[in-house]
Amino acid sequence: MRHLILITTGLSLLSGSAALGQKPAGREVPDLSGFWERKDDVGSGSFGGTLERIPKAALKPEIVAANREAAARQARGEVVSLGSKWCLTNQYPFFMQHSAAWDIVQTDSEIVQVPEVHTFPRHIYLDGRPHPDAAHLEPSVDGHAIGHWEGDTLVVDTVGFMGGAGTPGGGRVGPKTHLVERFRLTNSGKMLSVTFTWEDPSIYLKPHTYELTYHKSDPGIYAFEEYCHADDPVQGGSVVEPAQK
Amino acid sequence: MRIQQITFRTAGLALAGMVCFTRAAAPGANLSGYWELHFDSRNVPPAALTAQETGDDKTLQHKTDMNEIRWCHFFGVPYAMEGSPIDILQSRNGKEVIITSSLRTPARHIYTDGRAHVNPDVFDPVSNGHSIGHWEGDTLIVDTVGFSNEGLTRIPGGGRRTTDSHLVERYRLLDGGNRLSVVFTWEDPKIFARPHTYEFRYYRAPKGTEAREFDCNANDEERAKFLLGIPGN
Repeated sequence: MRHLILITTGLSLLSGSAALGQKPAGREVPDLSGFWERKDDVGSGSFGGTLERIPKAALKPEIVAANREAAARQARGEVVSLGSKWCLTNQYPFFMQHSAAWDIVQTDSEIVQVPEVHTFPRHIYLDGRPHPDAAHLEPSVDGHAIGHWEGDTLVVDTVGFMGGAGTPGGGRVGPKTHLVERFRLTNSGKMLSVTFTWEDPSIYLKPHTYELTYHKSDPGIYAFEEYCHADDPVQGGSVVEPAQK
Repeated sequence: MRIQQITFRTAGLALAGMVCFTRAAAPGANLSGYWELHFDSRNVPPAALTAQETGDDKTLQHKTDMNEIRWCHFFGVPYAMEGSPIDILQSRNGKEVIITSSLRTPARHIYTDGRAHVNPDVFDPVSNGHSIGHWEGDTLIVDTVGFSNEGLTRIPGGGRRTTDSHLVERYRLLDGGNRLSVVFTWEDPKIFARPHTYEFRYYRAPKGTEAREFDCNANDEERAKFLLGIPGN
């Protein structure tokens, strides 16, 4: 696992190391700070529907088979995830496609994305540090993210995911997955475009790329805490565990 | 998401004092960075508690706290400030300060854009409360109300946070920016006989320090037995 992480990390470092680091000296970079939220720009009628236009990931046959099996189990009434029952932490990129707003606070050396949904803040280091070597890379909910500016675009490179999450378009996130994102303001700063490219030779036949757009929230919006009570019978009863064999 | 009707006695006081917050002042210092607590970072005197709070069952409070940890609930303020390191980010536009902690707690949002507290009639109390800040010279003053009873509520020095609690913090750099003083003052008529003030002095963390995620699994039976059982068994 860790060798492959190093391979993908190494490629990203080779291709971008010269540009890694803080904003280029003497040049201002865009300020992405503020709350951002998804809206139904495509008229689908639901937030789930907005993801239907995302291209389907080209998955390896064994992943397709595993997805089919999980879908069949669900169709039979089986529970394939107890995450909501136990209030498990939502893994990246869950909050990026959620309807709840998320907040960016930006400094010259770091950007933090703070979602409302039940998960950790995501730290993106802009100070030129590389990813940790394989021996020191701790798998985490958000992975290890480093960023640099290419003109007006923030390019973020992430490795070190725990694994077990999904992506829009039917993809998966595994411990060997490598993600590159491009953040760019549009519409005079009122909107934010994020292009995601997921790579993992154990999951994808080719890189899985899609774009999500976000609207700047109204001034005065404030964050809420999504508090999840695994000890609440109502929350626990949201998912009924199948009989154990 | 539920809306609760709540009353902040202290929030009313805080709102009355918000007139001076109508314009966002330019930041008086740059607090951004990772900050660590060391063994000599805490100056916490015992709190002067009300008779009612002194007489309350401490065993019950302990059980409540252990239950919060066992079920992986978010801890909130003040425990969030006991993480080490904490990461402070001041937005470039001066409108917000974020504090994240490696502990299991939500990030703190401190709005420095001149807004007042949210109307308590429509605000859902949360473990971090609702924080607004302004600069007085080189000191960031943060005013927080709107706390819930959720998370770890115990306060250093004694007492606990309630929905009536009011917290004022004063953030100031020391030692050429290598240390950060945060003076905490809690007021709550049910808990404190007089305002309870203590100070933490954080050390600037080494370059390259990173955030950590301490994840939690409420479905871990062994962990639950350890936390709620008799020590040593």
